[in-house]
Amino acid sequence: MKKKRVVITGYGLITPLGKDAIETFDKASKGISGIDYIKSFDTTGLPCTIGGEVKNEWISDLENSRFSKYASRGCLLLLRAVQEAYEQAGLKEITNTSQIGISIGCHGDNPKVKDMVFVHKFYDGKGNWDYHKLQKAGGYSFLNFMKRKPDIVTSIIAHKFDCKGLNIVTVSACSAGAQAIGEAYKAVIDGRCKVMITGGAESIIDFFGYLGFTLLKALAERYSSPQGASRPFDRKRSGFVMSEGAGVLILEDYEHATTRGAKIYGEVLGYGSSTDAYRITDMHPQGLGAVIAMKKAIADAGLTTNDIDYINAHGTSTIQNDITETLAIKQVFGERAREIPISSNKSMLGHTIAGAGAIEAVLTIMGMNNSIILATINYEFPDPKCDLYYVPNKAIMKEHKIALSNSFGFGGQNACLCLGKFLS
Amino acid sequence: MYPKAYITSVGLITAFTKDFENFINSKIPERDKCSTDFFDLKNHSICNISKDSLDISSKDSRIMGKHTLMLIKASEEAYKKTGFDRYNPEEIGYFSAIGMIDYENEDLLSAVIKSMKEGQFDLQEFFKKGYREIYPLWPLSMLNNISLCQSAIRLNIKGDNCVFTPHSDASLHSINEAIWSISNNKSKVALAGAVSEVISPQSIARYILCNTNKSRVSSPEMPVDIYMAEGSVFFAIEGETTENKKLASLSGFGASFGFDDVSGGVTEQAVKSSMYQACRGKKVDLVFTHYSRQQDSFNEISAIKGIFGDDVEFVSTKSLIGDMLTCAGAFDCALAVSLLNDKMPVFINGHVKEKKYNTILINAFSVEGNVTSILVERV
Repeated sequence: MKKKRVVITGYGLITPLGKDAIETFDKASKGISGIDYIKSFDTTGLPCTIGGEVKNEWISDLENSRFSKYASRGCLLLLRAVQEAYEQAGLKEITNTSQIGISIGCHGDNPKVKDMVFVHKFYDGKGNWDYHKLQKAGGYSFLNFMKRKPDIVTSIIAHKFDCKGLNIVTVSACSAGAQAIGEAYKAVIDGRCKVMITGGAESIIDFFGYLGFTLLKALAERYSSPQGASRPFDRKRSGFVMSEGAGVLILEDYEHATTRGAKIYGEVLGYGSSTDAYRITDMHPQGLGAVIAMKKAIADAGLTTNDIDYINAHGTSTIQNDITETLAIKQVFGERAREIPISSNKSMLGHTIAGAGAIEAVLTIMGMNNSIILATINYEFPDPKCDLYYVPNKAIMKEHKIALSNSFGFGGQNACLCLGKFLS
Repeated sequence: MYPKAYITSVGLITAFTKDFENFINSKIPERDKCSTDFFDLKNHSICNISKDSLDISSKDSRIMGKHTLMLIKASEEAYKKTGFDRYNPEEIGYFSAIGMIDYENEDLLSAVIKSMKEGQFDLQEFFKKGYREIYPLWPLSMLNNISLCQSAIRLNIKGDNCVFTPHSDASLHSINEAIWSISNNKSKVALAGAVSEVISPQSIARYILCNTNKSRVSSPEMPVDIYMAEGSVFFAIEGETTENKKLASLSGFGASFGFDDVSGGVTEQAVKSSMYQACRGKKVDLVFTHYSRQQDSFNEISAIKGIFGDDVEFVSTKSLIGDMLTCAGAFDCALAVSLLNDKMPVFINGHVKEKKYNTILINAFSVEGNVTSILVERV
């Protein structure tokens, strides 16, 4: 039986570079960095004081909306991106809303320092709690609990945009956004939904977000300027730069899209996921999990490695990821690995964790439609262990029709999307 | 058309049984002997599981929360019973729903306490000495997906995977995704299931604040205190050609969304839509209801009667074993497997009829309006 075509009929972005997809892509194609010193919380004493923050004014209207009391900042970013994609796809005209599903990668808010300080008053430091005193003092805020729930996101979207179909949240760390798109793609192929609103979002630029990744030694700690800190595949990279943002795609059954006359921007051709099953703290040294995910995505698309024109790398700017991803690409593509343009959007945007896979998928589609391959900026000092063509510092004009987009999560969950320019 | 898939083994751990073999004889504690204090942990169904019982090294266990131990235990039982180790690791799918992961306050609070200066949290103090109280790999233990990754390492599973969270219907999504993964040849076989939240002051507070502790289990008019339950349930799922014994057939799935702003519950239309998609006109012998807040329960009963008439038998397990939240649907599914194989667990005896069940429907909702149903049939 012939596989259904899953096309992209809308997309939306909100990132440190722009309030929407066009602004983000425009700045990214000029190689502009969205990284700066953190303004939203006091970073005194932290070894990393930079990040990619989205301007508050871009979501100020949502901060006063009825959802804002229990929606995390990540959720508000997502709502903004969904709004853009929803309108672009013209989903309002679809009357059978049980055919519209949602699949989102998101993790919810971190607890706040003031909550922890409040709670410590009811704890004796030796493992004993005074629950009743805590309860009498008002306990935790219900609304803060709701902001921490990752699934509140899909419920708010379903409610706001009247989507009565499948409704799932994926939480696979840095691969969550790509996995959410993969699950949405499968749902459309299987005929479970005609349309899926999918993507990912993250906003954990706060004390606990930074504390966690500082303890893991994952953040960039050596940099001469914020804009130069995220330097994937460069020899002087020292870790990733935390960022926030959201990316959304509208996936649709091809027949459904053409019947309603929707404009088509691209196509999801294949999807592969895998686990490293190696170590929680390290990637497989040969990138085995990444190899499996890429091979599965290419096979699922019914293509060969010769068909791939571009790879949007996970490229976090950590020592380990960039070497391992390079190794994995070489294993999948052999000699051709050196010919394929590879770039990392994180060099400009930083790492948006659950949002990354989705944001990068949108930028990949926009790149194909504009025949622009985005650059890996801050590439100055070649690393002998990262010896492929990373489109250094300047975007190139090149027609490309089929791309892979990689996402690898902490713990060893991997996802790879095979995306295509729409060819009727 | 919904693809045909089969449950070939079940692995589980709950407060009252350590595996599926003992499930049938397991008894639950009598609630009337408990105190009425909701914050008294003894009232809730706490799982008894230790790192030693799973032969986990002390180094590995430092970044394993209790939810990880439960997930590993249930997954291993399902995996080993079906001999999944004969498959290429890349051909084994792994899908899990995982409840809210809470910070272990003890992991952080001593750092906060050491960082206090004149009654205020002081960042300088924190970076001078406070942070040293925190284990460097602590952040990994609170990432939602780490449990599945740790279990994948132990079982050497490398195939198609996903982690869903933490809607109370997420476990049924996990099972559904495994079925589709097999039907689309992305996996030859798959493990699918869920793990509940770990019961803690935070999770109890959240439960109360979400108003799910006063559920309407036996009658929508009569709220009953529902306590929380810990546990994990996993299923080995295989296609038509399996050589393993087929314990039950997974033959229908439905999902819908509907939240009524006025009543603050799921809508009757959403429940009907979900059940209709799962059953497609099939006769059902028993429905395991979700039953939670009052309006949800009214709407669920109304939807059940609207679709199946007045004669259909329905029951909620939450008053018996407690509420496993994210894992609730998977637990009801394990119970359905037992009943469909003519085994009546002691704890449910008297709450359902002693008869041959052929088709059982399971409902699971989230407090935010998601509704999911799955149909399980006798082979």
